Amino acid sequence: MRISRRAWIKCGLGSSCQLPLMLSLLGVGVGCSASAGGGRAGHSGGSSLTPTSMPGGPSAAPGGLSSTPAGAGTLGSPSTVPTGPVVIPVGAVVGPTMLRRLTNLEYRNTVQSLLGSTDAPTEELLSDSLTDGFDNFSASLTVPPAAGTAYAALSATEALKSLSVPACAAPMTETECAQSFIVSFGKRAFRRPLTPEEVAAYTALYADQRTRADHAAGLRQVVQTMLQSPYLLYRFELGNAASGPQRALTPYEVATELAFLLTASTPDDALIAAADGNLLTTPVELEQQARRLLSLPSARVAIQRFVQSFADIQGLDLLTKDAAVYPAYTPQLRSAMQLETGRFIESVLWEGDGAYSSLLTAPFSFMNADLAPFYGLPDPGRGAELVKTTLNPTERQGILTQASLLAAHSKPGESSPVKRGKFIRVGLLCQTLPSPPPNVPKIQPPQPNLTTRERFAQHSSDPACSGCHSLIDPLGFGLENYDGIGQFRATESGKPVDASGAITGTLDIDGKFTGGIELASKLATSLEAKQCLSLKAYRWAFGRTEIDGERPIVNSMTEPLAPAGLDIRELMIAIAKSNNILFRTFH
Amino acid sequence: MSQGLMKRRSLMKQLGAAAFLGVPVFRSAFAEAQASAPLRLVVFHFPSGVSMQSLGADNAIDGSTWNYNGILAPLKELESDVLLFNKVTMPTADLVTTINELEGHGAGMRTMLTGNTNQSENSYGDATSIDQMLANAFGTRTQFGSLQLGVITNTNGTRFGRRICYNNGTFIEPVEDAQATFSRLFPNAMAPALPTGSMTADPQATALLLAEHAAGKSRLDQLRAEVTAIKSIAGADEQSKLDLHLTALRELENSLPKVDGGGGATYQGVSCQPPNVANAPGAKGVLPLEASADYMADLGPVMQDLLYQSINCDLTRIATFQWMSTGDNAIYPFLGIDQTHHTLEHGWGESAAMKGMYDKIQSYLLNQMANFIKRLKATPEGTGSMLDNTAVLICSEMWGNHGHEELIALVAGKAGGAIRTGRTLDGGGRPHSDLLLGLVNAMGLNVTTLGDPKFLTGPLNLA
Repeated sequence: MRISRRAWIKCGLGSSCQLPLMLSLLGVGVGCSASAGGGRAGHSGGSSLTPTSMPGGPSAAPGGLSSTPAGAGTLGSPSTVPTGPVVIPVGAVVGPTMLRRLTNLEYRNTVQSLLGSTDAPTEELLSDSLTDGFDNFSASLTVPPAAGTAYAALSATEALKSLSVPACAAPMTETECAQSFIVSFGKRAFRRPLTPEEVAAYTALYADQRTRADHAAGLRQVVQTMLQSPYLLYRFELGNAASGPQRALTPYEVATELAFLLTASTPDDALIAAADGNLLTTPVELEQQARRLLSLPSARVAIQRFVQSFADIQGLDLLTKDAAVYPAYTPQLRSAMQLETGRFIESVLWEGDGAYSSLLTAPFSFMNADLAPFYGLPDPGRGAELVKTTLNPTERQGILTQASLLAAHSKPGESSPVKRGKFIRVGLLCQTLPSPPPNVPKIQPPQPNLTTRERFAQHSSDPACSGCHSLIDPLGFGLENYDGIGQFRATESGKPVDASGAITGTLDIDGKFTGGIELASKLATSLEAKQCLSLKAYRWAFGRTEIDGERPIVNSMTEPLAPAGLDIRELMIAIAKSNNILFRTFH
Repeated sequence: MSQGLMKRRSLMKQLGAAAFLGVPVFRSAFAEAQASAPLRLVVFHFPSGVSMQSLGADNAIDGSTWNYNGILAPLKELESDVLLFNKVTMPTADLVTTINELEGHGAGMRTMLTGNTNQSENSYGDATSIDQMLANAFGTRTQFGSLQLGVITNTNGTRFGRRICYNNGTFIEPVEDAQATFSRLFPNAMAPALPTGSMTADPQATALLLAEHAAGKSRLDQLRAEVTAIKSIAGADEQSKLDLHLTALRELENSLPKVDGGGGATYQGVSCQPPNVANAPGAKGVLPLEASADYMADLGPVMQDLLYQSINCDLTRIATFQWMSTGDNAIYPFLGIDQTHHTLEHGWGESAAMKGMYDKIQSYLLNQMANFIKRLKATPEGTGSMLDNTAVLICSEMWGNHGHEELIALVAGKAGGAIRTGRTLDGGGRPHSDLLLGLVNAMGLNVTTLGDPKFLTGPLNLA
């Protein structure tokens, strides 16, 4: 809500602060006053979901079904779905049809997979921009002219270097060979069978090039075009046009949804075969495929990216610190911090129970020769290799106390209770805060005789500012045992660090705490925190913010998983078999 | 040199350098056909206004004018070519600010060049910025309809930080990769130039060039047919996204190797030269909060050089250039600035030290922009300079107090005589959409409305 400038009041030193009034957003508002919080949501225990066992492998058989060309108006996709009106399940809230351009990661993985290359494409693409920490929001994913140039350059490079042209031998003519290639490569590139018209168009493209060059060059022309085709660049979520505004996605669109959600890449052969067999229509079928996909190495990359985006630690390799304050923060240490967190997430998700609560409470991390001294732990003695190591239980526990996250949520020359508190409030609890008003009171620069907490105390004491900052700073104060690069400190400016903090305005974890470990443990028990992770996973999965009515759906996915700490893998399964994988509303 | 550039270079070797030799980048035929010199619009955005005193008066909040005594000092010598605006208000931004989660920063960005008041957090309605209005009308006259360049726009602050350009609701973000921009603008500049006339003397090279052109044309014809087919079945919200894609394909086609009629590898015009980007910092991803962005010092001038040559070589006549993002969260130690721009814009009123840092960085930005304008002025065109046929709009999405009471704006250049410079124009409280409309009219686009008509009273007369 807008707070009129007329409502600003003076808060000392001639500055003005916005009078913090109540915020409300989608029912998860946080009041900036001391009485914030609103009603406490009751949350029943719910039965914990028992994961079904992983199926042995792909069972879909493409046989038997004829590929009928689609009618006009459906994306050239031979559809096995009835073309009548689609009935969306009762209670479902279905998002809009969209065209989502692949992210750079997805595109590179796709090209690599299509060309059977072991090396990812190295040609540069236009960098994806972030929306709330995520790089895959649909609105940001367009093909502006500068990107078009980049795709063209990458396609040219890859078509030239990576394609092994299938041999063409009698009795097949070159044209027949080309057609066969177009049909098979095209289906993988476009993630659906090509229509006869498309086969004809690409055959003509081949033939045109063949008048100028040899057979192989003709096929390269096909590949070069398909690698920058809108049918490859965009994920189609259009469904069958004949159905009217309420639509079921085609089986190939569903396969595409699953593949990019869980593997950040194009559907594999088994998934396309399942689409061929129209075996992606029920939650059971979706779950089978989702579990299979999650067992693939590519799923680790995809889910890792989500967790790192959630923790807002992308781009750490560009994070700089004031070298005069933090001489220990070398590029080597920075890199080791980043690798530590990546390895840790990998370990919890794929070697452990996969739970969000474990990310917050794990008593171990991964150390090497650079990190161990920084953490005050014995060098595992294996050089740069990361070795699983038990942490000092009085200093560290889980991802919230890892150097990468703490350094990313600090200032260049000091820690930042405000940044850290805001990250917890907004990033980990999905609450909203107003932006700071003009002319905020200045925080005193670091001084030899004052602790960070003492310098930030004005926020808590000035009545005009304390409304909002009482929601932020006490969270951040609890992390004051970690300096601006995440190193543990028992004292600051010659005084013992006061790491006592408090949480207010939450559904279920209000209260006092001391230190990052206790804070992390509280968050690990919070349903609100788990709902927040689920909400962000849902946004990430569908590339948009939620629409009216979706938060309860996300909460209902969270509830059965919450008692066991919210297994992120199971959350992905729940999303993968949700109605938004199957249905859309056309606008 | 970036890896990407190296790759592209080695690719050319593989393809056969001859295919790329001797391809001229030429001023468009349209330009030559026109009786008078082409008009051009360049928009510079810099973030979050200026501190009040630095406007040039003691306290500009009520009634004072901005002049060349303060932060505009770098433009003092250009005074006769500059039109300053006073008391042009920004009511659209105040309205848009009411959106949940969308505070003044984002509101200013989305309405600054559009006058649009769409209040949906995740949709921009039919917002179209003035550069895109002109590109939609005149963009096909040049190889690139419009350019969007920037420097340090990708800090991990607000999602709205890099969005000043919109075409029917789809935003186009700036590119700050110097090497990629160079490759795109001057794809043929990486091969050594042939002596004039050698094209015709080398039939083999000519044949290769023709073949490359034909192959590229075939690919693009197919891609265009596909995007067009998708447009016919995609929803209303996706149409402008696909239109943007079609623009990309059209510009790719413009960039295909061409066989010049015997002209050889010279660039049109004495001063039209592909800039040197070899020493520019390589492409960067999203900057984390509080990161040092000292590479701005090296990147900024190179990006402005690319901007200048894109105009000078008539590759485009419409460009936006974004210096940093609104709510910029980087620090700039090379200027002695150890607090983020966002912190400074909120806090400049608190201490002389903070104001000093804030003014220093804003002065630095204005000085850079002044350098660009001086270059246009030093480029002869017709009986005058290129600046005479250009309008350079410099503006910011916020006023100095973090609000939108006024639009910080000035125009350099006479737009072929449609703009009378060397003065200050008192807007008398009129909405900034009037200024935008006056500007597009001055650029030869005869429209009578723009943005939200509720906040438009008519074109501001710039003549």
